[in-house]
Amino acid sequence: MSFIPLFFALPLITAFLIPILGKIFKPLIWIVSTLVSFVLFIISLYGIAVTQEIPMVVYKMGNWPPPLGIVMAFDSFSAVTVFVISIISFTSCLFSYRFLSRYTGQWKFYTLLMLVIAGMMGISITGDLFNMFVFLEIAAIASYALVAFGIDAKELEAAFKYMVMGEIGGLTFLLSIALLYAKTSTLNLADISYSLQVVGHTPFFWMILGMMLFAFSIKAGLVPFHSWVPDAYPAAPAPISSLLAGICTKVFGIYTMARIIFNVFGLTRAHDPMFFNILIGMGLLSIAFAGLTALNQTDYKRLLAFSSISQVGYILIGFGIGNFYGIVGAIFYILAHGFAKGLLFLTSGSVVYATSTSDLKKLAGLGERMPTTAWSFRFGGLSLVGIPPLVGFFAKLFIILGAIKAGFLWLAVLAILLSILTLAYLLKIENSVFMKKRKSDTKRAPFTMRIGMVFLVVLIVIIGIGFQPVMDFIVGPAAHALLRGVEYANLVFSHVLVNF
Amino acid sequence: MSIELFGFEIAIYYVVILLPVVAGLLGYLIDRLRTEFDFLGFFFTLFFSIKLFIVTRTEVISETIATFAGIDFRIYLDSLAGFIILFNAIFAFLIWMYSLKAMSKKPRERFYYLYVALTLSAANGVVISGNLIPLLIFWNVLVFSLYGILMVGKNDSSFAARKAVTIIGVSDYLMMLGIVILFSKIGSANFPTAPTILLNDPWFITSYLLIMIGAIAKAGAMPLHTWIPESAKVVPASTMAYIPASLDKLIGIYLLVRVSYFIFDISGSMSIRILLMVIGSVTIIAAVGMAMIQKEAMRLLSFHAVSQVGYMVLGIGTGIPIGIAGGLFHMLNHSIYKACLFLSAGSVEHRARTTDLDSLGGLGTKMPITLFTFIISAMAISGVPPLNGFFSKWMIYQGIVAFGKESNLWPIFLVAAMFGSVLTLASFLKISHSLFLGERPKQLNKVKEARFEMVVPSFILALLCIAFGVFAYQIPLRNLIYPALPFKIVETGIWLPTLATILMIVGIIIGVIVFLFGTAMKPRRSRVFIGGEVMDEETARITGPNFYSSVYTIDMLDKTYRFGEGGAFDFFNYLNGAANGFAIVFKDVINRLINALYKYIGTLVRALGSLTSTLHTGELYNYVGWIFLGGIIILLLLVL
Repeated sequence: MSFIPLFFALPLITAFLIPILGKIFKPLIWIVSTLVSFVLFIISLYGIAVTQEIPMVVYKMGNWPPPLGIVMAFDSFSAVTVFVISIISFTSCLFSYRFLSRYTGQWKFYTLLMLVIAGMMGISITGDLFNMFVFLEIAAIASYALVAFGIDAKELEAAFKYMVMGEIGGLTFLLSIALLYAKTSTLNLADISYSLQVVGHTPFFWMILGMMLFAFSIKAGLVPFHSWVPDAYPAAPAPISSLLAGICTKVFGIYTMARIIFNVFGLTRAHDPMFFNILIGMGLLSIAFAGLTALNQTDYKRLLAFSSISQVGYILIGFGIGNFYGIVGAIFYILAHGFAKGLLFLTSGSVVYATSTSDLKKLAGLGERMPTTAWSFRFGGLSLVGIPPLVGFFAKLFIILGAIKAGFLWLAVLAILLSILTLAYLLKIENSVFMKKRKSDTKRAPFTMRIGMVFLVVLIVIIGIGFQPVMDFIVGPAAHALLRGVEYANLVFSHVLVNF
Repeated sequence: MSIELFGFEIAIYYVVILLPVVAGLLGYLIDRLRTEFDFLGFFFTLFFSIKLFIVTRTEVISETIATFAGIDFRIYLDSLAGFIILFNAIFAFLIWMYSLKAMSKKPRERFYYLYVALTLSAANGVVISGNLIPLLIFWNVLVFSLYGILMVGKNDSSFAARKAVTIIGVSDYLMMLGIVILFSKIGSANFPTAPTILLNDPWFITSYLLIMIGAIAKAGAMPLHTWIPESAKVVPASTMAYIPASLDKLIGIYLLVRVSYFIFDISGSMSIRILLMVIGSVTIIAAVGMAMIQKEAMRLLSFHAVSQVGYMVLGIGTGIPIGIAGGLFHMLNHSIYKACLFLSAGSVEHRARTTDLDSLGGLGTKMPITLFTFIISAMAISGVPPLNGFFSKWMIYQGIVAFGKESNLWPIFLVAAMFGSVLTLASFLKISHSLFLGERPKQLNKVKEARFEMVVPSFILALLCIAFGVFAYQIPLRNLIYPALPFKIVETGIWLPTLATILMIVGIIIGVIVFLFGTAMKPRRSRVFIGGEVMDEETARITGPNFYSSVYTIDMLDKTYRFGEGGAFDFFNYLNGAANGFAIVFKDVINRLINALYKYIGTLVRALGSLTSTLHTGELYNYVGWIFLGGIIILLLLVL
């Protein structure tokens, strides 16, 4: 029995068990989902350990050999993604317990949450294009529902927008899959890769790639495809915002994009500089546009939403630089941004829980009353800005190093300058929410919420200080997995018989 | 030329550099054994300096230790360097001895000894170096130790220390520039240069002037003197005696002589010589004028420390062998009597707890030895024969007269020098009267003679004053000064100090008789008549400081004095002013520019932000429109 199917099977089964468990004993839902996400965390660690030895672990569904059957191809890049997904899921589950006390129908929440997790896990381990689409849609539809979970007008509207735009992306992805299938007659990623090497870079090839880039940009929330983000994140319950901003968009948009660009289409900076320049351009546009907009926001969560759009830009720049350091930076950024933004949205949840508002003008002086929240915010914020020795610093550092090594000095300078924007809008929150003079007494954040935040703070600090082992064992191999390019296909086919 | 220590052969010239600082450091670290370590350090430095001095009388030590980046780290010890090292060690030892009691239980005492030792090491290093660049390194160590030792003072000594370091530091930079010019012109900074460089190239003149500024700033010539009176108010007398009064003079004038006659040769350049003489004359007159009106003993003495530098510069500037020898001799004499004056005044301060001349008086009977040392050194500085100060001044006068063969300006310099001498005597009459003669205020009745350790150094120095005066030819000139200079000295004036001394002694005996029968120590009491009112005896006391208060009120002069007191001659003030000017420029122009930039960038960013915010209308069809627009752009870019 391989461990690979567990990644999506476990949350999928839990998703369907939850309604029944909820009938037996209500808190059991929370306990089981938290436990499951923690187990996923353990399995992801095991997965990282396994990929140290074997670059590619392949699982054949129903024991059909590829390309006939569907395969799960688990390499180091998958391992990183799975690792981050499990952590953010775990903290979101932990945080949800008390946060959801004011909602009804909690079992629906956990069911949907488990579906989102299952979908994301599936995306990051699958070796089949259509399978990827299916998981993407499972997760996406579940997330539309979660955004609408509050079922007020605002939430419904946001969810509707999210759904329309998300489906434009999803259906474009489906269309591109169909076109690709018409061209290559296969859906297996490795097999497509083989076929495309024969076909070559025709305009048709570029059109499919363009459609995919379009689809993933919507899913990732890049400017100008981002407009669902600032409505959806604030509307969703905080743990869901945390999950969406922290990891969902990265898996839906960035992971898929990177996997397809590097491993399936086999693009390299050396051969296709135009494409990578487009990535850098989109990244810069996102950083600047969303960063500027974030400065003007007056809502805690909406500001953070714009911040997420802006930060995804850095990841895209990292991939766009396309050399080892750039990709390491991008993957590190996925890690760092996942933890930091997940944490920041959790603090917003904590603030909303205590004060029932997320309007920056109404909030003030929570720092003394909610020290854990305030300090979590500071750590998350500093990591996002890139203050050493927190993990965000190393992410930015590697991106900048990559830019310098690739000869884009201007890009490095611009990236540093633009991170001032990050500092500026995060200080705005710090100023108005946590500093100032307290207006009235508020509730404190309960223990389960605080433990979720502290867990992320500890990770941010530990991974920041111990970035070297993380670099050596997790991020570095992942970057190598991407830079391996079309070797990916060979690995998938040659490791068919391995069973873990 | 070397000693054996723990099986290592160590050249003595290393010993005189390393020993003081090592001993000082050990003493600093092991506070309990500080006196022992310091004693060993200073005593053996003295011992080895004497050995070194004896060696340099017969031979010249010239040795290149290492060459690094074209710079020779070179030892050069001739008889000039030898006698400077000897006196460095003598002064350090005497000051150390004096400090034992004077500095005991004072705050930051530990640092004080460390810096005394460091100063000695660095000063020896300066003298031993045979290349201007290592010399500059030691020179800068001196700046550091000067700062440190000035910080050991009263609470506000940090200002004086800052001022000193600013002035010395700026002049050091000028000197560094001069050395760099020299180095780049001749490709070496070794000295003495053979043949000496004539000042006929503008670069050489620039270089000489810059190095000269460094040298006279160290010695304390006007207008680079102002840190000395500033420090006098706040630091202990021993510090004043050690650094500005003796070691700085030795080092500064040493460098001036070196640069003027061993590296360059200024005797061929009339304008440079006149420049030096003008600096000397102005320093003499201006500083002594300032000294006249001081009401505080230390400050008064410190102005004399400046004034006397004028004689040295004047003598060296004459370019006449006898004048140069006189300048060098005056440097030595000055170090001796000025150190003695500071130490004696320090003893008075130690006992009376004040140096304010108004509240002192009549201490002569209480402190007879201090009276003796003070009067002897005061007479020496005023140029009263047969003391040493007279003799060196006499040589300088001879130099000026001989200079008259080459230039018509000589009477001005001669008058300046003699007038300065007269004013010096006048101001010392005032300070001697204020301290030791006249009526004693009641609160000083319990004052006793200073401690043994404090009296002995000043007594030795006073004896040196007499010895160097009476046996001027026999001891200092023949052994110290003449061998140190590279030319033959011809005396023109006739002065037989031994005969003169006999006459003097007769005069003094008469004076003593008068003293014994007279009432010099007992003030004459008479009732003051002021319109029938009876005055308190205390208020009617005549104190020294007002002797020359009429000078202060003379028209013209009073303005100058007020300028002087207000700091108009203070180079530091101008430097400060310039810095303030820069600050204003910076604040008003650059700062505003930056502010404006910051403001406008902020506004721009915020405007852009609000623009992008308003684009988010929340209308779905708009958003979908953006999406498709973006998609079309991507497709166009990729497919075309």
